[in-house]
Amino acid sequence: MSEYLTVEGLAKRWPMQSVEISFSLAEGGTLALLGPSGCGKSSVLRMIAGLLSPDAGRITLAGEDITRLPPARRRVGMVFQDHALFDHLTVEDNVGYGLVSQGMRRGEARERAAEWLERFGLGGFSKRRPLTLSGGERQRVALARTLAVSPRLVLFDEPLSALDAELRRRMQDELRAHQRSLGYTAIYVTHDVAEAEILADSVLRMA
Amino acid sequence: MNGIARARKRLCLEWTAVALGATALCLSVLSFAVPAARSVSAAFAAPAGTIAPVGDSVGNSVGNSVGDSAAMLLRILASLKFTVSQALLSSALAVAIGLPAGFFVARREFPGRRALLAASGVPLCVPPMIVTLAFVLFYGRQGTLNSFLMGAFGLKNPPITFLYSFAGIVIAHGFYNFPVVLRTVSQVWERLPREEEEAATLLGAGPFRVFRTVTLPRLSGAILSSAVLVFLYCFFSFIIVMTFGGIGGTSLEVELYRAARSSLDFRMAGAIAIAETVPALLIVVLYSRLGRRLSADTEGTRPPRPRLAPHGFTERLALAGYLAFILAFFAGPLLSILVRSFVVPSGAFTSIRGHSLGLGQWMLLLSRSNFAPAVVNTVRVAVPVALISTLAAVAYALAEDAFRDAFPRERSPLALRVAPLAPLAVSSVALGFGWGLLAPRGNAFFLVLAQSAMAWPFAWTQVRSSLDRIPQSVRDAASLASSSRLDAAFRVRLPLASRGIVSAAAFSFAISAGDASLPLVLSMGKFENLPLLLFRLAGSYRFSEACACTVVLALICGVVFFAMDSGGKAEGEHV
Repeated sequence: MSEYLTVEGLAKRWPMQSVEISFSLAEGGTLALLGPSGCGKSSVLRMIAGLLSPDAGRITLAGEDITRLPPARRRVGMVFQDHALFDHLTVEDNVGYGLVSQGMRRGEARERAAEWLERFGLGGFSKRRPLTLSGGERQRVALARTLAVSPRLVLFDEPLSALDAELRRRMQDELRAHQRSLGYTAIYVTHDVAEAEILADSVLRMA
Repeated sequence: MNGIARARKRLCLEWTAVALGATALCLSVLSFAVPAARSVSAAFAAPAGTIAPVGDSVGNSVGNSVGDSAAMLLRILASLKFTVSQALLSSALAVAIGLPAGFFVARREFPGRRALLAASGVPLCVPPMIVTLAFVLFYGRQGTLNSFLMGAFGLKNPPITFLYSFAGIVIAHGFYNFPVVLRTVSQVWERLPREEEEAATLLGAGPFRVFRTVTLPRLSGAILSSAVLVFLYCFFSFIIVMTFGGIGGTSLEVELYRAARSSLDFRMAGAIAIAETVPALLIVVLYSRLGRRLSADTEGTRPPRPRLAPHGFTERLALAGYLAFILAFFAGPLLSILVRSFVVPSGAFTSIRGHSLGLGQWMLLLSRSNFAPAVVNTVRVAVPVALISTLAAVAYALAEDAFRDAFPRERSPLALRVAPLAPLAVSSVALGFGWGLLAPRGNAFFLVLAQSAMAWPFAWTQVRSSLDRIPQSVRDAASLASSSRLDAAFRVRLPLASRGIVSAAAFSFAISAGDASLPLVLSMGKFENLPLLLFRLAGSYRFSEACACTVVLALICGVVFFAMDSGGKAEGEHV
């Protein structure tokens, strides 16, 4: 399989710390970046997403050099540790947000959002506010919001660390099942070895 | 319409909004910078160029000029000493009153807690003019307190006579501004980590030692920051000092007013403008630095600690005593305005005792030919001021965010952080003096511009703090899912900050509606608004009518706050 995502010598330096990384990933593949807190795992994700500019290196996605592209034009999605839902919007408008950005009419975006919510077992949640949801529900809305715009790559920054142990196990299986059925390419950041092994085909350890 | 056309249309609307914001920002900055520079430059004008008061010889010799300059300097130094000492003592008093309030509001649940918390809006929403009137009615020789004490103890002379003195100024300032300390300190106090205090207790420290060694150091940033802000307010206090200042000296601000409006010594006025602006600018820089430290103290996701009921007899007694103290000395004067508006006096300067209650003063006020125009003018000026200063504040905050996005690793330059607070370093009288030199005949349009320049730092503070409360992950998610940075700002960041934007508009409205200084300093001919009417009524000892006028002003501001508050809740429902 040809390489879909290539990260070459991607580096960032801070006064007390630095990170440098190279790896590649096939289309539909999943990779876990594993390492202790503060080793720069999340910074790697933020550089791939375009939220942090690297000091050196190159990122190629589906044959396109995206290193200098602004975040909105990379077509890379990200699921955040605290879900980062927009509390001023309803659940359906959260999920439809990216579609409206792409120019879709709001009504149509809401219909599409409803389909995604149905798929994630959240039918009937459309008009709810994020603040009224449980941890697991928020997690699913965040995932639906990210996947609704069909990103070329999905990044997960410690996606389950805010959940309790039992829910976390359930969500690990759920995430894996979704990835298998939808076939998206994903990178997970985690500090939990067992979680890395459940979620991803391959694991990259960072020190 | 296809997707691209829709996205373009949205972008077009967003850029239109940006253009409006940028225009408002330019207006606010120019309305501040140009008159401020003009007022300062007056100090360097040739002495002969000044318009001398009647009786002065025009065309001084060089020797006279040097002598004049020395005399001027001495006068300014004396006023500077007076200004700094009253502001220092006032800040100390505000901290002394505000600190216990901060503790009770942050850590205890008790009846009246919300009312005490609501007092935190007073220094911003209640104009000094009203506070002055309240203090005169309550503490004045014939005020409520003296009437009560004389009646209760059969005294012939009023026992409380501190009002028209240095102490009166300090006490008025201290009570007026303690809510600034209350608000800032309680916000930090309620989020202090419990563990540190518990660890100190387990290590054998008593409650006082825990407070002194663990809690107080954590609160020092909040205390210092609020004290500096109070210092700045008192440094520039005008109406209170002008009313209560006795023979023993006066502040720079009052001297500036006299030089600019009575003796017409513009060189002196310019020199005073410099003497007060330079130290104030240093204080603003200090405040901006403290503010950064403070936001680090209140940032983060740590929720407020649960509040406990007051425990122990001593604490309950202390709380009851404190609340009674605040009720008597802070709420009392303000409430006495409402009561006084229904008192029908029999003489020009009379006490409450022996008078009947009625609507007479209200009828008198409402039937004044200049009352309706005053109400209309107040609203007509305050609405555009609220609009311009809020737009300017939002535009500046978004520009700051764009800068942070472009240079994420660099600390934003000092100039960028101090710029929105710079108008705090120029007093309203100095600004009005500058405006007066630029446009000798003032009008409502100039008043709108001058007040927008004064109000926008307050609007910016509200907008900035709401924007800063948005978690980084939400900002990142918006950047990833929006079509542009601008789109992310308009569809996520601004709606999430809607409460702050709405309260910025409400504060700006209140600042404009209650401001008597600028309309007084700008020569506005026959222009009439509520603060001016209030000033004239109080000046001619028509206290009951002035009180009715105050109630009208408070009602207008109250309605705006209420409407905007419920509007702010409804806002954010849309994408």
